[in-house]
Amino acid sequence: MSGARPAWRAAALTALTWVLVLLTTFPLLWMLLTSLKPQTELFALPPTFLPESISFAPYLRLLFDTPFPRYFANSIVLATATTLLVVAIGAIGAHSLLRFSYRGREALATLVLATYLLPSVVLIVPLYLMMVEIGLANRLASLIIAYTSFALPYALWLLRSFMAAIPEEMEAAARVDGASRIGAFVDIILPQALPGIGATALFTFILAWNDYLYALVLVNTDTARPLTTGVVTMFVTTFNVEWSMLMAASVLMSIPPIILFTFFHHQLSRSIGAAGVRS
Amino acid sequence: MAEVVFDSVCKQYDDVVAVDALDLTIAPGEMVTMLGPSGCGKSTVLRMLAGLVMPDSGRILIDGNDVGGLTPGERDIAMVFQTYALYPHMTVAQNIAYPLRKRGVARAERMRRVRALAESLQIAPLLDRRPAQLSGGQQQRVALGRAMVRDPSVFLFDEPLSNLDAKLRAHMRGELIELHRRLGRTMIYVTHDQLEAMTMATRIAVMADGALQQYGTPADIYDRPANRFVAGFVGTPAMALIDGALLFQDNRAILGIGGLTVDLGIRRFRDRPVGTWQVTVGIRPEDVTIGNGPFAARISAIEPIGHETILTLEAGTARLCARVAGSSLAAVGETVRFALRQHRLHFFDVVSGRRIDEIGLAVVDGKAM
Ligand SMILES: Nc1ncnc2c1ncn2[C@@H]1O[C@H](COP(=O)(O)OP(=O)(O)OP(=O)(O)O)[C@@H](O)[C@H]1O
Ligand SMILES: [Mg+2]
Repeated sequence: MSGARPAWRAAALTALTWVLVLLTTFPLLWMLLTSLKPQTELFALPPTFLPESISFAPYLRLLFDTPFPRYFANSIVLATATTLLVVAIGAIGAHSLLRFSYRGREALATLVLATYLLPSVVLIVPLYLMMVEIGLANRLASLIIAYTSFALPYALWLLRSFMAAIPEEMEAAARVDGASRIGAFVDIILPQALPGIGATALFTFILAWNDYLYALVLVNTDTARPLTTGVVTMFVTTFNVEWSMLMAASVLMSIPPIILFTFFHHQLSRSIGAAGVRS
Repeated sequence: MAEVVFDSVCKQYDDVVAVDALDLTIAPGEMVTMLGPSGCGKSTVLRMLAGLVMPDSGRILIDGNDVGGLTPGERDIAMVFQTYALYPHMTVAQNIAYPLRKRGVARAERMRRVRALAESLQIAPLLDRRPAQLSGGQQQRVALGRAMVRDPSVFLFDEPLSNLDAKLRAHMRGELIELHRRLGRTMIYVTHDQLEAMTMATRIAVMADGALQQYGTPADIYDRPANRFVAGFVGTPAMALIDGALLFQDNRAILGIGGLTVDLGIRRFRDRPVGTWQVTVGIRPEDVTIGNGPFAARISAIEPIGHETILTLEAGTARLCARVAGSSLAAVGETVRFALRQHRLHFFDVVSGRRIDEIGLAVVDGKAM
């Protein structure tokens, strides 16, 4: 069996791909459609697929009558700050783990990964107690610290594998050419590690954006609540779920990751390839 | 022009001694090649001079100043690497301008100098390309340009030609010699290719196992190798090194090697030793003459190279090579007669490997050596 694949196999593969695409996008589509239906239509039998009448009421209520904008802003601040912190520490740390020689360097690199082995549920209570101790509980900072400590190991390893592909001689050349160590890092290493940095940023942002567990445990005030817990608090009670509001909130919540994804998906697919090939 | 001095410089990596107490003085304007087998510490020496690696002990001086406390950028040296180490995200022009940018040269001046240099290196049409769009030879020129652009007082080259094909290599060798002549700068050139080392250098530093074996002109290194390592390492085919005995009797020296007895009658040694000395005898292929002579040997291999032929001879237990001009009519297995150019034989101490006429057995007869 050499040469071109038989036509039926190609067709079957295409069909399979489409089935998978539909399976993953259907809930998203359903979410969008539900958010546009008036409450009365939600539980109609038989269910309608396309809304019979479109209503933007949930969106307006969400934006003007609820703390949604504040939660949204909190989440943006949280995810952005975490991302900046992780990328900065990750890039410098990865470079250090790769190029500087000091006692226990390899042990440190492995240890960093070991923190990844513990499930977050195990870490969360000690973390909460620590935050209370240093007076950061119920602040955005507590979540930034938690997410950073959680995303950093992965970031370090991803960036390290990216930077390992940059020849050491290049950095040496830059230093002989007159750059300081930091200068060589900024001029030579960073630009070439950009795909890895993009992937790390995306990973971190989404981790911080989507987290529910830490936010639930560490923050219990409206001023610092992010979207995930905020939305659930607003619309899910023991007796009732406000479906159109929930769906409208979910739609708005999906926008930042989608924007980031369209910007960075090139880097992401490259880095997944890279992580597979190297290491 | 700058003088470079290594003063008992040592460098150890974990349990590997990369450079062992290096003492070396390089006069201003020399083109020194560092020659030695892989892993002998050549790159480490360059990197210490460049400031990329810190020596464990010892001092490095450039023009009399200890550069120990200076960063690589402050040492006024340029380096060309084996992989060229061009910056892939910058254009050729930006690559060459980088050292100037880091020294705060104004943009217009930078452009002017890059342009002038590109003209002289014949890479002007490539200035807007990226390194990935260049051939190996072109990348090499760009790397050279980046080293030359700020007119450093010392140039370092770490095997810069080893990624080029044979023809381009020969060509670039010529260009580098010309460059050295034109700029007159001190240059240190690392290679494990002896042809490069011999043809380009004003002086050669031969290294092995982190230690300097000999420092001298190419002729010195070839004609008076300081020890058995240098003798065997420099020259192709290699000098034959055969253990034997030197017997001193009645003012004559008689050499016995592998069943051959060579009467070195006219050879007289300064301190007129008596008795028998264990030595290693070195015989270069060109010092064996085939045709007639006092010795007989069986031909065990014939390697025609074109303008000459290398014969491998077995005389008793001794194996040695002979170089004959043109192509040879001899056949493997044949027995031939040969002679040795006795005044060109090299003697080394069996134990220390050192050249013997440097430790007291020096020849005093004006005719010898
Ligand atoms: N960063 C390092 N860490 C540990 N060992 C090193 C390091 N750099 C060099 N070495 C060791 O030091 C010794 C000398 O290395 P060096 O690179 O100077 O050799 P070289 O003569 O340049 O060899 P080559 O011709 O292969 O380039 C080698 O044994 C090498 O393994
Ligand atoms: Mg080397």
